[in-house]
Amino acid sequence: MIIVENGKLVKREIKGEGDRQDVRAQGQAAAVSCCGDTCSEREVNCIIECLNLSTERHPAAMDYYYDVVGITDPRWKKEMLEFVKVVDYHLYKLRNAHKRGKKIGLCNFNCPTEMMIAMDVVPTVSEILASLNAIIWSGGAEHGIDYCTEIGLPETMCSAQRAGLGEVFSDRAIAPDFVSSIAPGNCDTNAKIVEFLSEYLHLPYITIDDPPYQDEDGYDYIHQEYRRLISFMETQTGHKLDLDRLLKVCKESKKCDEYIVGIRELKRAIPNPVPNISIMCECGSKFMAGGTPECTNAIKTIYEQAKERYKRGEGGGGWAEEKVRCYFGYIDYYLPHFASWTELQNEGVSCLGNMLLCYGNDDYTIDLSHVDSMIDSLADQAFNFPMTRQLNGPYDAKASLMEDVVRDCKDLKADCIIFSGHPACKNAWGCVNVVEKAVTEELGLPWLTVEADCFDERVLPWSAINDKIMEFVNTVVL
Amino acid sequence: MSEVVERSTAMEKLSEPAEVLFNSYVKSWKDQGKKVMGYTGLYIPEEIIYAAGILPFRLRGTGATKTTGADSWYGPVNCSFAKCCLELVIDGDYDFLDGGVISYECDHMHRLYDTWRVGAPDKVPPFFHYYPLGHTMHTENGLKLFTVETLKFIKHLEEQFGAKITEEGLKDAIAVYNETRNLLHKLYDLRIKDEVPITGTETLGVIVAAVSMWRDEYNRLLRELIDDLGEIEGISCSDKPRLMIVGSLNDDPALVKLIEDAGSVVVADSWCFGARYFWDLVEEEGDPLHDILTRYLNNIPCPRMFGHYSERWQFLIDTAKRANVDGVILENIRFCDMHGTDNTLFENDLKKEGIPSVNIEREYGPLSDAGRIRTRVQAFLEAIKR
Repeated sequence: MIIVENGKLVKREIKGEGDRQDVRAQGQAAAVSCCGDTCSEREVNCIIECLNLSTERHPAAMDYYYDVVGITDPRWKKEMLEFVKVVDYHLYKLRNAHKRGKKIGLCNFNCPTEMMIAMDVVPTVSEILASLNAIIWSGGAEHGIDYCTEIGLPETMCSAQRAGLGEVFSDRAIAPDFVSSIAPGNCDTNAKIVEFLSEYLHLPYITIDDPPYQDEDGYDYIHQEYRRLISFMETQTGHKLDLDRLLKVCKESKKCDEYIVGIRELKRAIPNPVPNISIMCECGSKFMAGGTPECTNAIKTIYEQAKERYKRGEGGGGWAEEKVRCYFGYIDYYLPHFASWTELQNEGVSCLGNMLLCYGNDDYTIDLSHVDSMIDSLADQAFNFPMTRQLNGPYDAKASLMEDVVRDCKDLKADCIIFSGHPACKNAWGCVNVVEKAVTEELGLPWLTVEADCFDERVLPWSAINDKIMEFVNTVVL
Repeated sequence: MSEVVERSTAMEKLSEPAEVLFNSYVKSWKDQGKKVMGYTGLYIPEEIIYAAGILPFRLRGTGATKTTGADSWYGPVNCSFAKCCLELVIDGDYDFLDGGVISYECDHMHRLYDTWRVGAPDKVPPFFHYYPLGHTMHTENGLKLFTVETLKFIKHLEEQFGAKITEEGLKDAIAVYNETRNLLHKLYDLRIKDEVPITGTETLGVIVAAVSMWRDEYNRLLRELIDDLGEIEGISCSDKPRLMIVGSLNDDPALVKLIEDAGSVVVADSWCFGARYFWDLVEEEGDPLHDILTRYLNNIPCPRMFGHYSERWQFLIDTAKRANVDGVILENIRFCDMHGTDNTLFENDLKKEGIPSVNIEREYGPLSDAGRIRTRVQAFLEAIKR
């Protein structure tokens, strides 16, 4: 139990409910003591709820401690606390969905949540659950991953889905009422495990097919596919799309997009005023709760904090000077206690971004003029969401991974590129050497490909990944 | 050598293409100055290529004994089939192709379009086409996308080869290819008899030949073979378990031979070099292009068609029951998550039906893990016999 008096923390009570509860209580105590008196009661409770997650498992006391140290690092505490609030909001919505008569819909990170929220459906995102598990406690993703293997899924499938959906299969996380996937056409393994989920748990399923080209036919196709999704959700929820609600969500999303574009502009500055860990806060918020004020607030905070640093001429790493500007050509490492972001930051490596920071808002905005324009805009965003956009056709097609890497590296003045080769991603691995050749020939930047699992340290621990990156930085880049 | 090969010249002739990539039929075709088009997967309508007077040749990895060149372009988690295909391209084994068309069959194979162009730029044939495919069946939108992309393919084909693909040409092609399908149905009906006149090993060779030689010649040989089989005494299955094989692509008869040599007879399959290649016919009454595309899109689905597990399962269980199998071998090439995942569901559902199964992960290629597979198959057969 957490006790707050006069806005100050804190006291806790151990009630002797057994070892597990005791560990949890110790962890909560660690969390509270680390928060100091600069966190509000709500913030402390959000942190604890966030660390407990929606599963039955709880991290050990030391996990709490390290997480709270990461969250409350004064260099990015404001951004992190807003992100924690988004997680808390997300978990609260999930836990209370059925009590409130709402359906829970599964979507993947590569499909915006806006339409589900407009349909008054609570979105749950398997990769978010996987990431939170993997970040919050040591070995946190292992249970879900191993459970999937236990029930017979190939161990070559993506840990980003296995870590999250394994918790659902094992009944440790809240199961959705229906599932949707926009992965067909950009990730077989992602699309397949969602299909498996629907078969395994007998859940209604819809697939939104990702067309191969960003041309008129492609956009026409995705517009129709998106309407199939709406029709499917109308059947599942038993109600029609509420146009006022759609407008509200679109307006909120549009507002958020302006901050996202602003953050991107700030990253052009040298030093980069946006901390590495903001990548997680930004895309995590967007993937979990895009279209909600909570998401907008979190992203607005990242923008405002970075703008303040920019005005002061400071980098996002505070005392850690920016030595190298690094672009991740794929995704980050979601490993315990935010280590991948904070340790690189502390070593002077500024992470400019990765393929996840692409939400289809670069070239256009949501057209609010009428219903069809809003639906088409959201479909266009879905078509341009990470992975959906980048891996759905030949490597040199319009809006491909290669195009985005080249554009971002030029735009953000990157010194090097790191491809965090994730074992499951057959599509990216199928083109990475081709893309590397094309990108390095065009940009002349050094490129490092790391073979490690982005969610599972058993494949390669963070310490070893970090060594590889720093060796590359110190011997090749600098 | 089985009795079939000994007594049927047609069988002997149809066995060759599975063993040799640039087989004597393709050589003879090329000697006549005619064109060959390499293609991937089950979703590229062969009738269209045929109607252009070009030999459709399904890309395979037959004969690849290494993947050192392909490993430079593919990643460590890509499937060995895609790598073997690329390796053969790099080594010049596909130099006989005048064209190539790569579809989005799966994440591994669609990248062949990239790795081929960048990894072996001097081996890219004059015609090289990326053929996108949707992932949904029975939807108007899916058929529309397929039609749009097919029209692009036809236009490209006509421009490159100066061919004209007419409605009449497509109707002729449908008739020829439907004849193949009907003949293969007859062959598969023979396979499920109590006394099996043709082994699984031989059947696979026959299917591989279908996609590796000119269709008119193939149909002629297939008719001969079916006639020959009517006169052959079949293999008694009284002491050999009857098996069905389901899973990832296999074009290598040696894999089936290994399974049959362990003491079984393979009487049915759900393979893309198998039943799933020919099962459904093209309608012959309406607009030929529409009918072709409808058939290809809605044929027994590959696991790449998401949301259609129930149709795949229905096909499996219907086939298993019709063929009266004693067990099912589920197999997938390593990193083929699509078949691997389906196999997990199949395994559970087969258990409910009381049909024994074994789930084997393997590599594509020259039986690099033959010993391991043999041991697992032997153990499975022992379990069935008990």
